[in-house]
Amino acid sequence: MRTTPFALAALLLAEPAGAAELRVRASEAFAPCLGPALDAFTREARVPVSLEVGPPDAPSAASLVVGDDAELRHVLEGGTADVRTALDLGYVPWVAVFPLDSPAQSLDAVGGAGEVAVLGGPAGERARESLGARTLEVTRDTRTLQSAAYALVPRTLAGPGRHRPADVPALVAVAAVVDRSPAEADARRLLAYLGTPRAQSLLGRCFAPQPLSPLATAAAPYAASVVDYWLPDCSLRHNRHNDPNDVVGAPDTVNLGGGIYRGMMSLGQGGWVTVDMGATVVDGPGDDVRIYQATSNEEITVYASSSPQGPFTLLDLRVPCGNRSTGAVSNHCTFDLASGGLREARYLRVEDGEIYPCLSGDTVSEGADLDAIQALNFR
Amino acid sequence: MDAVAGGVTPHRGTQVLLAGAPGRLEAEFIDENNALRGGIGTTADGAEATEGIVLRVRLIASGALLRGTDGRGEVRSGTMMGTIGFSRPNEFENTLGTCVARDHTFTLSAR
Repeated sequence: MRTTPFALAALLLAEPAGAAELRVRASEAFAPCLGPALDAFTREARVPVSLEVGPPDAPSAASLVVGDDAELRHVLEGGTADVRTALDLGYVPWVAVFPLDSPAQSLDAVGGAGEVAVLGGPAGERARESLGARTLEVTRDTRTLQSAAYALVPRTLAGPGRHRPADVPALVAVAAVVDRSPAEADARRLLAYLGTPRAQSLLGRCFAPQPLSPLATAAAPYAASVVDYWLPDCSLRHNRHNDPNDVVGAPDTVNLGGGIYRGMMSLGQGGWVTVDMGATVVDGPGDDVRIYQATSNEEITVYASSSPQGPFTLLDLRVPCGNRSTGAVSNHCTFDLASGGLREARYLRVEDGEIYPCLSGDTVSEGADLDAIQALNFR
Repeated sequence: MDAVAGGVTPHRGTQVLLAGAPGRLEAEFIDENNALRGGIGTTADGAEATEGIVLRVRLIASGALLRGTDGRGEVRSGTMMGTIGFSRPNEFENTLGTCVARDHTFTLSAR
């Protein structure tokens, strides 16, 4: 972990005696983007800020954490940080890095064992999966990533060389206040500042904007009833949100604080729910089904059938479900009937894709948190 | 690994845990119609195989349940969909690569 005293000039400003230092802890990919906004906050609010670079899922003495959905999943779900304060700061796309004189267009064909460097930690999981079964240099050390001849990294960690856009979902920088932290009040002030147009302008010089999500029509139906469900006995005993009927109807999840929600079903370890959409979902333009999932980008698997008893056809496996939704607490992800070779379906089975061992879980909402299921193309 | 009954509601289940380190690898299956189906997951530490390789998995497994020679159930040829990551012991990332597939295979039997 490294600490950078941002806004050096501001450190000379008077600090109230006994006030705790405001420490921000950000993951490697996001720290390079935060300096100007933190500096501006220090100047305007007269609150010195220090920036630590390290895993945000271990806040230590930090009062504000900045990390990707995958990094903050348990911090937010477990209540270490206040999920109600979570604020998206921007996105960082991935790039593949090659030597300038390399003719390669893809990392698949280059680099010997361990020659391709890739970001470690939860934020790099999808990138590592995209590189397949090969020996990699997996590291969070920014110098190693920036000096590698071949690398798959968030754009902010790319070293010299030729950069190509990579087919890996962009990271999303989420900031949240750490509950009962030493400088919690100042952290809340900083978070409010980061939401201002001035701060957004400074952050926007480094972060990319939110990717656009297609809008659903107003008439697009939601799941009408539950046909069947299964939660492992272990998940039933440890989780709190076990009612399958909470996935029926429009997204309505409410965060009640303290890790407690209303209106969603936690799917536990590999649990699932099968619903009758009350209409026929058809393969149309773009994706056909939208799943609303309440916590970060927990993965979802979806199957479809024309019969409540199946057989169910897999549409897609372990899709990160974290696209931001307009007008709903929950995030979402979408699925295409065509990816399973289907023209239509009425019954959808939504399964947890996080598949985290139940006995090792430390929240009452383990597994993907299902809020609602919507047909985008239907008749 | 140890297998125990895992409840009956809303469907009958079976839980399979890694002996000695039960939190590190856990499988939760529906156990109905002479078949097992469910999720197999490991913690971030992974589970060390007898071959000295550490595995980190996120899998949905399924397979027909047959009667073994000792009368106990076994899966002789099952399929797993999902992610298997590999590393050396004492590494905390899948440095030896990750395999994502819909047709991993497995067997599960008493010994």
